[in-house]
Amino acid sequence: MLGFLERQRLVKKGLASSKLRRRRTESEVAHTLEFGPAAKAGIFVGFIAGLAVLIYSDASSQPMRNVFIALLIFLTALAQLWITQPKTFEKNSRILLIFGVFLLHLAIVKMVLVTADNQVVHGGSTLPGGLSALERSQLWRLAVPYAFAPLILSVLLGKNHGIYAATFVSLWGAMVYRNIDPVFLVMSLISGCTAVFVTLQVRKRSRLVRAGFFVGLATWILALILGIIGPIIWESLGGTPWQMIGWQSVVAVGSGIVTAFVVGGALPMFESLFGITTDISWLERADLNHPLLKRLVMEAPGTYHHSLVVANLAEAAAEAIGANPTMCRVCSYFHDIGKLVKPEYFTENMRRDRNPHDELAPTMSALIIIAHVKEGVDLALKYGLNQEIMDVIQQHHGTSLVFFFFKRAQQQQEDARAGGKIMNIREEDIPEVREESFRYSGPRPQTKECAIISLADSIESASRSLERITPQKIDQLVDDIIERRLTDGQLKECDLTMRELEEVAESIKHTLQSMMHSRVAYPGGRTEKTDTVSPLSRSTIPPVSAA
Amino acid sequence: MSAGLIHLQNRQRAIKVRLAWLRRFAEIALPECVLYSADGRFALRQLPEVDVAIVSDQIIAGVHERFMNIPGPTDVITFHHGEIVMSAETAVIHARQHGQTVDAELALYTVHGLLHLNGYEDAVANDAKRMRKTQERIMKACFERISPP
Repeated sequence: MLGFLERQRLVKKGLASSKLRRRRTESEVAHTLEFGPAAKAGIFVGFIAGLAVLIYSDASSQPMRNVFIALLIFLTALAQLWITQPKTFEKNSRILLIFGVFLLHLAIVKMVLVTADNQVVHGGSTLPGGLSALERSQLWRLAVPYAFAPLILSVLLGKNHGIYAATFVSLWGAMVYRNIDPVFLVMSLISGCTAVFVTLQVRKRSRLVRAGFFVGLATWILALILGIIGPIIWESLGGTPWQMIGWQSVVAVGSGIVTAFVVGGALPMFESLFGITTDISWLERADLNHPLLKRLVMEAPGTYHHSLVVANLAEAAAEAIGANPTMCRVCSYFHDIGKLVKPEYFTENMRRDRNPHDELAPTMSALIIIAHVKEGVDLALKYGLNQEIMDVIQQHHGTSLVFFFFKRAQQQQEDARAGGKIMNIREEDIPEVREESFRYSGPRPQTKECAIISLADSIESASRSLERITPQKIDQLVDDIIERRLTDGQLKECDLTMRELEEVAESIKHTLQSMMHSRVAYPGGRTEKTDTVSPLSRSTIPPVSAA
Repeated sequence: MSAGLIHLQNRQRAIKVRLAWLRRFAEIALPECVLYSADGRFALRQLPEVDVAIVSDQIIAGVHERFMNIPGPTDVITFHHGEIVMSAETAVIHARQHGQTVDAELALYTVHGLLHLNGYEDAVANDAKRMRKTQERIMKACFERISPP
């Protein structure tokens, strides 16, 4: 509040800008909710209570015993999550997602099973289709959406969580209704694992439906083997209940497909609720028609082109080490949107005849350059870009130095000292060049993807200043930049291993070489020997944003 | 009078049964059973149709456990909405003990189930005796119209 009043006073005097940049804020409450042990315990207790309600909600033979067994299974579930997925276990939102989906899945399973038995208990009239109550009951039992939780968690959080979901919803699902049912357990396990297996690479929504079909197929085959569908009586094919078998097949395969449809529809909701971006959404976001990118084309074409090249470099590198390539591509598109605010101050957009930095002090230049990170976050917030993109914008320069202007400032300081001696100015009166004011505010890259983009970004801009491009020069450049980043400590907070870093370097070198190769001149051909030099090597403007 | 619809279906393949004969028997047995009501309410008349399913031991054990909370297979289970489920495998065992064919045994189960639907009970010894008597009378009447298997 005091800060606000102080600011208003300065604005009135014309000493401060009334415009405020949007900033990412993290409130204390949100942090406690996300990482606090109390909230975590609350989720666990809630889940157990929900499970107990589910088990008690009908006249089960021994509900107390089942609840006790479910509780013991829950303890193993917690232990497994804690051991194998410590990062997920840390975040309460992830735990809420996982156990919330589990509970939803179990509630649906219970509802379907109860409906199945109600067909017989309440009897009622036979349908015109001619299915008896017992047959309808059997159909309902085939309609259990075994793949619901495994599908959702596999697509949202990855295959390991999918398998985790498949295992535990099967264990609990077998006991939410009546006694532990081994046939249900096996069907649920295999259908769930099939769901995970067919969603290892889901990049399109249509793929989900395909996955649903395969889940249904797995259920169908399994039901056929276990004798739930059928029986086909080989001695008298006419006596085989073909109509019933037909219905059973439709229900078994249909339940898989319907499950996939429901999951496909529910995914966007889960994504926005829990701040997760799936591969499907990344691909949808890789659309160059985003208003910010369109502005970039018009107002900062150099930056736009730079972003596209970085996207290519980063995507290939991510592919090479098994990181998320589509995410790298999209984040690369947006990583420099902050340059929209003062595009002409960045070398890629500068006119060749005029460099606005010539008229500015190096500290001022550095301030403008560094501001593009904060302006980027501001624009990202304004346009509602997601967390990962904002992370990349914020971290893609880490805490690195704006080297060019830092050197220029040092040079000017030395000149001033030399001049001061002549002019008899005291040493203390010459302003000190402080390294902090030439460094980005960071934080350093926190993820593999962010580190890759950061490297691709600096390598791409540096490659613009290469003259006479040869493969050796590109190799040298890539190695130099990575070396410098490493010794500057910019890569110490991301989880790239040295081996992966090597693979990233190789990939970037390869992509860069194939992008910047020069054409071989045709000997004595029709074309003239003018394009032997790559058009990219003509730049002579200093790499202002290369740092 | 009941609509007289009775569907008999074979839903197992472990035991060979004479389905055509059983179907004809069921059609003959239904009008006979309708005449005998234990409590005078003639519940069987109210049912639009009756479903009879011959299943395996595995399926009848599941039904037994789920709806009656008794584990293990049984010979015949009757639901009041007009559904009779009987196990062919158990029928074979019982048929051997009584020295008759599986089909005759299944025919007996059909009559037994239909009588249950018409109010007969067999939980108490007295009731069971009464039920058995009616059952034998109906079987005899049926076998006058259709030759035993």
